[in-house]
Amino acid sequence: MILALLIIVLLVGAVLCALADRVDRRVVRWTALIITSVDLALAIGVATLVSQGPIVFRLPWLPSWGASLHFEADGLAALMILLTTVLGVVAVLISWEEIERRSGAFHVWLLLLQVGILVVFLARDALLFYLGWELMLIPLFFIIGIWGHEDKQRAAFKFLLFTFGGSIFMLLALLYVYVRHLNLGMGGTFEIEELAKTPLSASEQWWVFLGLFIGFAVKIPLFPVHTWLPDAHTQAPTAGSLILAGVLLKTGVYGLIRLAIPLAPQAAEAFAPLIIALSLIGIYYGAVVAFAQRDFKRLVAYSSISHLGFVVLGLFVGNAAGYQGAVLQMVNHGLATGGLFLLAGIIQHRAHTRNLEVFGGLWKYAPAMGAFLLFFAFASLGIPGTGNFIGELYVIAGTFQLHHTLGALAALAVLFAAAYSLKLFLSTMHGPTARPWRAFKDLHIHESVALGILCVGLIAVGLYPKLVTQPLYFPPDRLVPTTGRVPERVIRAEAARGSLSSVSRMRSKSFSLDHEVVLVSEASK
Amino acid sequence: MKPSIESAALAVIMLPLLGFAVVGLLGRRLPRGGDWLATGIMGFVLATALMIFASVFHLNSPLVSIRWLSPWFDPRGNGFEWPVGILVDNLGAVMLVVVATVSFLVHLYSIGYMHGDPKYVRFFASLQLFSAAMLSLVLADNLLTLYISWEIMGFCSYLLIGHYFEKPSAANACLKAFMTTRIGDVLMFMGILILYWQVGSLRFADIFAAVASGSLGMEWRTVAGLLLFGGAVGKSAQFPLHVWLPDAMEGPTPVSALIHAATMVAAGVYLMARSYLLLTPEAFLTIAYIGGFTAIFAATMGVVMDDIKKVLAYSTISQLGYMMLGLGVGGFVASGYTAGVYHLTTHAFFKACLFLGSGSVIHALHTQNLSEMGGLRRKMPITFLTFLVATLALTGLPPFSGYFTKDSIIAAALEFALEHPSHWLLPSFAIVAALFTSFYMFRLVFLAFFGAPRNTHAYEHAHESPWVMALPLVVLACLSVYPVGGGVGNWFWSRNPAPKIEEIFDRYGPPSASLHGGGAGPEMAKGGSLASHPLELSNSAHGDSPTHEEKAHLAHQYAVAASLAVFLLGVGLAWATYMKRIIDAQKVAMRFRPLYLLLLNKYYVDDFYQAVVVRPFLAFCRKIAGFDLRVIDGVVNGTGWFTRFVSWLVGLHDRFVVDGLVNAVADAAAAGGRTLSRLQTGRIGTYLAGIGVGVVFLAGFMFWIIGSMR
Repeated sequence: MILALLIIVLLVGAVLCALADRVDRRVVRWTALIITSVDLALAIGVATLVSQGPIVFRLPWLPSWGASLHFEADGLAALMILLTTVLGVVAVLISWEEIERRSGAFHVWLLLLQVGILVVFLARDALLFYLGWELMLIPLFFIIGIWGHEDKQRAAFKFLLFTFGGSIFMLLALLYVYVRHLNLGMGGTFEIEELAKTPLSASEQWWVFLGLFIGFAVKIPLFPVHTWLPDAHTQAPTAGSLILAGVLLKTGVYGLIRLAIPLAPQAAEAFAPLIIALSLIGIYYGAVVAFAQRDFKRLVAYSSISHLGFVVLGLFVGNAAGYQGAVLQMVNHGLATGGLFLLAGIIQHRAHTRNLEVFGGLWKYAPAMGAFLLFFAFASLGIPGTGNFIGELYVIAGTFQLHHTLGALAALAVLFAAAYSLKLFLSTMHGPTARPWRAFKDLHIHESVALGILCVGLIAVGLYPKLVTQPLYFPPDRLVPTTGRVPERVIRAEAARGSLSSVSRMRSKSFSLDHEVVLVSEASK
Repeated sequence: MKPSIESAALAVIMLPLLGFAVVGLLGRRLPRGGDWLATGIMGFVLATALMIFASVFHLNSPLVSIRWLSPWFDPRGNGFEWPVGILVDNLGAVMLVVVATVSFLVHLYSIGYMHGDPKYVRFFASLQLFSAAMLSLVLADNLLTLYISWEIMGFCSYLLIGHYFEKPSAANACLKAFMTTRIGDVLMFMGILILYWQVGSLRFADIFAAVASGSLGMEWRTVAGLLLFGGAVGKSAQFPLHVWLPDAMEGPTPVSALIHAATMVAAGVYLMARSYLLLTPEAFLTIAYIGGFTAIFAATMGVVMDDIKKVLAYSTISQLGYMMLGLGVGGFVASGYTAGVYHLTTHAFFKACLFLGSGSVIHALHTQNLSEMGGLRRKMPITFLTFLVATLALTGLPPFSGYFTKDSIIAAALEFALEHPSHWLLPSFAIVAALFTSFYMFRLVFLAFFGAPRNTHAYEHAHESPWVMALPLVVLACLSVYPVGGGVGNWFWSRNPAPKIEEIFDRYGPPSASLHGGGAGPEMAKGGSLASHPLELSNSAHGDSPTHEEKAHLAHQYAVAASLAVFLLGVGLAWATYMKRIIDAQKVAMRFRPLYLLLLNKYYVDDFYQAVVVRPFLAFCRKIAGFDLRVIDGVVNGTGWFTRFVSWLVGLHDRFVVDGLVNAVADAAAAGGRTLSRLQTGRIGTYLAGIGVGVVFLAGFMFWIIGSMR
């Protein structure tokens, strides 16, 4: 029930914000702040309850299709919704002054965006997952398109088309598994756990994984399909950037963990070298391109690509260290990069530019802002004491376990992270002042609170990483989804299929769908 | 006793951390920016450190290891367990006292030096954080916490070098320092991970146990040892990565004294001393050569610098090279290890004294250039005397501490070379570097404190520093004198503060088993010329002691003679050049202009890095960014354009062809309709006629069909 409440509160909040818009802008803000805070409290509740076992909420939805409103929170999901709700509060705080136009509509979209994200993190039904997945796009599309900066409409469309294009592949893959499941006489269901039991041949798995992977890779984003991200980030208002970097990108990784790997575990293993290569390229590529940027937000956006490369790398090295590191990095990246985007927005709001070349020496005018930027820049380069260090340590250690050279490569990337992070700090805060920023004001109280929340989170994870790694094992006997360890049921299914495919090859050279259906039904007798 | 050491050690780390938090967050509201709090904390830490030191020496066992805390990381999954602990042994206790002493004195000094600075509070907060990190590094019992402290020190160093960040030179210097040391750090990080996957633990005790049992192969020991040394090269500014330290002098002078002379830069030496048992002959030789080369390389540059702090910076690099040299030959000659660690402790005091003294001069004159100083000994007697004492210690005159330690490094290098004549370069490095040292240091002293003032305006305003600045100078100068610094309670000299390497072997069992065991064969054969392996020392030292001791004795005599000779020569040359003007420095510079320029431009190493690393990297980044914008995003946008283009084409097609067809059909229908409408005359006769024609036509058609079916 608490899971449904999480979503209902936000929906009610959206309605309230729409109503409050007729009264006053301040009422809207306070409504949004209270709603997101309540949601945060609920999420904390979920995170504490989840240690006693998974929390399940299920309602029938489309029984004839086998789809239900199945929400379930385990440790990983609890972490993710906690991250989402924390950033939700921060997003409202940071929009306090920035959003002056159509404040009501903005907050409605902001809350609906969180609804979509929460649905993705909680759904255990593939159709529901897909629904949430598409639900995330529309609010963000409007947030970028209406409240964004100079080139907002192009960026919004690029974002929408890119991710929508990716999600079509995902939908096709899901439907294929659904149909296979149905045709095998196992009943029509969208339950992910049931779908994962569908015996798929190696080539089927390959295609299914590819479809899902394309959908998720665009969202993460992985190396060659990343170009929507810098544009979207640059043009989005601060809260949009925050949510986009902080949680939206993680839904892609989350999808890999929840859908792609369980539905096609062998294909995941087969794809692992390619994905590891792509993520390593992405780590370096993102860092190098970030270093060359002149736009504050673009720099941070490219650094996101680099960081997310670490996440995916950790996920696919196939050991517990890597997996824990990947999840740690998801949380840390959300907080640290979120912080950098906040500062980008704050500085842009004051200076009316994001061009790094005209800044410089700002620390003199804004000591608190400088201290925060220092903290987040160093968090981003992985200084010990922040969660990023632990996350990178885990990922690199996991990569080392897989292969020493790969591990060394991943470790060297930390150097590049230092380059762009320090460049960012140097060109904004250090050095002589390039312009007379006399009217440059230091942080407002709500900005300090927003940044402070992220700071505390990062330090907490950095000093006590168990905060993140412990919940990964809730419920206690859950398998870490490592690609190296194929769950037993898949092996069983594969053994059963081994004999079948040889028979089917005798009958017909093509692996047509009908043949196998017949064969499987024969075998089941 | 143990629990009290444990809690004291914990307090030593935690208190400065607390001070950092309090001063950093509330400093502005505290009276005087909380400097009293920070200094008081360091005073307490110093007292605690002395107590720990005394306790450790009361215990007969030379090593006290305290295991503490473990559930920091989640232990699940592949035994991912990283316990955190505190290790207090002789090495750690000595370092603890050194760090606490210098840090306390620098805090005290900064009250005077930084007075009136707009970033006073931030400065003290950073100093506190740095002290906490350095102390926890010294007390770490495992490589992970050591690395963490190491990195946080780097962060503090970045902050403090960039204290005057409005100056572009300072802003660039801190960036350069952080990036350069980070290169070493990454190497060290790899070394740590290799050890982790080979040994399964990062605790020094476990690693050494693996070394002793032979489960850690020689090749991994070499690789990991050299990677760790990579970290030390970065932090301790050894040859290829030394470029950051002279630039780091952009920081306030107390910072230069604490971080960039006495403590942080010595952390690399400490790391090597700490992981000594891990190292192999190859690693030792590399360390010795890099250290020796750095010693002479940096010393030559110190000769031509005009900036008083730059001279001291190059001197620091050079002395760190000495320590590395000592540790490196210590792998083959028993005394090297002790000499290296010793030099670390004595150097910390006299170099801190020199830097603080130069700070005192800078504070008085507001200039760092030697060419604007002169005659200061009358105006600043305390500064002058303490500076002179520290200089004598650095250059190595007998009753002062530096003589004993540097001399023993030279002796160790000589002894090694006597046994293995092919390595004659190592002692030559050390001896020639000592010549340069005494020359540039006395050049500094003569130029700054003797002669006529070159800038009379500055000279007239010069004054002796307040007591908060003078007191640390006096204390440090006293610690640079052997009978005081070395003699108090006989701790620093005769009671062996640094653990002798044999004791470490005693502690971790007979290590020779690992060497003669399987897997070590080829290495031993290759290292045959190196005769005695470090880990064999405990045995061989007793075995063929006569020749060994004779050689050691001989080496020591040579070393004493050589170092005294070069000391006198260096002083004499400086005296002749800068006091008596017998030798005209300008003429010499003109005569050997290429050489002079080479030294002045720091052997063009910076320019080399600029040309070969920095600029290509920047260009590369820009290229890739262009690639991203034009090619990858270009493909995306191109796809967008293409889609639009296709849509446009389709639109045209739609409008002219499809629509055209539709319209054509419509037009035809309309035209047909119009034509046919003429038939609609409304006259019945016409209709009937039409029907008749139609019936006849249909009938004929039907008959034709029926007929054809037959």
